[in-house]
Amino acid sequence: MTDAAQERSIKLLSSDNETFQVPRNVIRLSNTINTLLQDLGLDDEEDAGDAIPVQNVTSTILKKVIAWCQHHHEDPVAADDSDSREKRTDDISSWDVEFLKVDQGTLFELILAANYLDIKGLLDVSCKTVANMIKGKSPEEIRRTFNIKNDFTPEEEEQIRKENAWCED
Amino acid sequence: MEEEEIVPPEEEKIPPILTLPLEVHTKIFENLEQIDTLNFRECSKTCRDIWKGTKCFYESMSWDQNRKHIKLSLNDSYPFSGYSNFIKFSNRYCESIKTGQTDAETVFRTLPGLKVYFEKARNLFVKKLVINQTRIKSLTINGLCPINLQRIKCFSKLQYLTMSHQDVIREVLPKTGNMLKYLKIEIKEKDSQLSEDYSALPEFPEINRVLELYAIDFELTAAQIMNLTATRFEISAKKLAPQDVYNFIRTWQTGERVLEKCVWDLTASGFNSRILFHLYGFEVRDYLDRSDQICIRGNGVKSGRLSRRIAKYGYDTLLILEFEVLDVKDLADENGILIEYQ
Repeated sequence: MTDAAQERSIKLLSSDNETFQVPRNVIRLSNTINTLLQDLGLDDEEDAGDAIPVQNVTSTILKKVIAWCQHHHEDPVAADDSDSREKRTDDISSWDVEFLKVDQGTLFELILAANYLDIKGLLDVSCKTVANMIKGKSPEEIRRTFNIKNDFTPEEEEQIRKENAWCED
Repeated sequence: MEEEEIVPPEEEKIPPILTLPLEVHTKIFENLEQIDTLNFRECSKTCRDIWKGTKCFYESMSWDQNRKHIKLSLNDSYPFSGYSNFIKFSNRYCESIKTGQTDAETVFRTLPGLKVYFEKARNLFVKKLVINQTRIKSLTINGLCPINLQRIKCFSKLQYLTMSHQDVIREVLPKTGNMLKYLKIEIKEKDSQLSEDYSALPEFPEINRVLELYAIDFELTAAQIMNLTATRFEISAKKLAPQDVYNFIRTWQTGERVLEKCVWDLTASGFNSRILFHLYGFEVRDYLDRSDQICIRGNGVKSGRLSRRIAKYGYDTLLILEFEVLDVKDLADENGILIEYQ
């Protein structure tokens, strides 16, 4: 990549109309933005023109997403071996742990933004964080954690418990 | 009159975790152990639906095993014909391995939603097959791998199960299109000789506990008549009553009162034996329910005696059918079918 390309920046427009100037090599982590720029033939343009609307993401969340990309844009690209990888959720970096110490609403909005913008690393780490909130908890504890209302009838609950017990053999 | 202000009921707020798209839930579940996903499933109906939705869906799964290899295929894809130690095809979960127990267990542990336990003593055989996250419609088991039905734990609504090995093809087809409600079993025998190693008749108690089978219909066809030793066949049904047994027997073969020209041909696991039972022109005449036995009497020419016992097994009532083939002369004073409670 040339120095000019590295220094190039693009503008993102949040759903609440706030504009963010982001270095191109930072937002490269978003496959959605990459595809969009390539499809529009703007990837090699010096000036990408108008701000790209990111309609599903508020300014608060977009700011955090950009901060995450800023921190990780120089990370080596991880091999995509999702089929055989271990189920590990203890490999979250301390920076990410701190970054994701947010309220549940923000965490889920971040997940939605990462999913929409197709930022694999952010989606991975935020999903792992949610997984860690579920791990090792009983159904009642999970309900409490996420404020889920138990709407099973006692019979249904008994049935599902039976099935679970059978599966855990 | 002062108008009463109508206050709309406060909308119940949906927990944010339940509003995530399914692909995100799938990603979260990928990071969880099975027990955690099951606990999540237990939280609410929405959680259960999410859990169901995140499962992969495959039309078919095929398990093919012989003394040298195991092939597992989803969606009927065998992209190669040779066997090597371990070849993995990404995203297809199609494997071929030499059946070293450790190798096999290691390989199958990498497959999401599928757990395979091998018999320690005889590593050729699969002890248990658990399919818990992969929704499949039909499962085919081929080769020398007599996984009993009771060893297959499948959370999906399995619609078709075909087991075939060596000379026996066993097909389990749901009558209503849903295995949860009805099963129809068809046994077609190609060869009269069965190796004891490979004989295995599906046993139902376990699968019934999970799939809640309330009715089982067996259609057994075989033409060959042989005199062999006794064996037994187990069927479980919830709250089995004497009347149910009677009805079951009565409707088993023909759906009518007349058990006419029926030929039953069963092969059972664990007994290493094979049984043929023949009743020609047998008509159920009456039925007697005693405290400790049920007696069904009938008319006709008999060439065998049928003993059926009911026993308690776990929390399900288990009907054990025992078939004995005796010489015709032994049956000279027999005039019925005896059913005993155990």
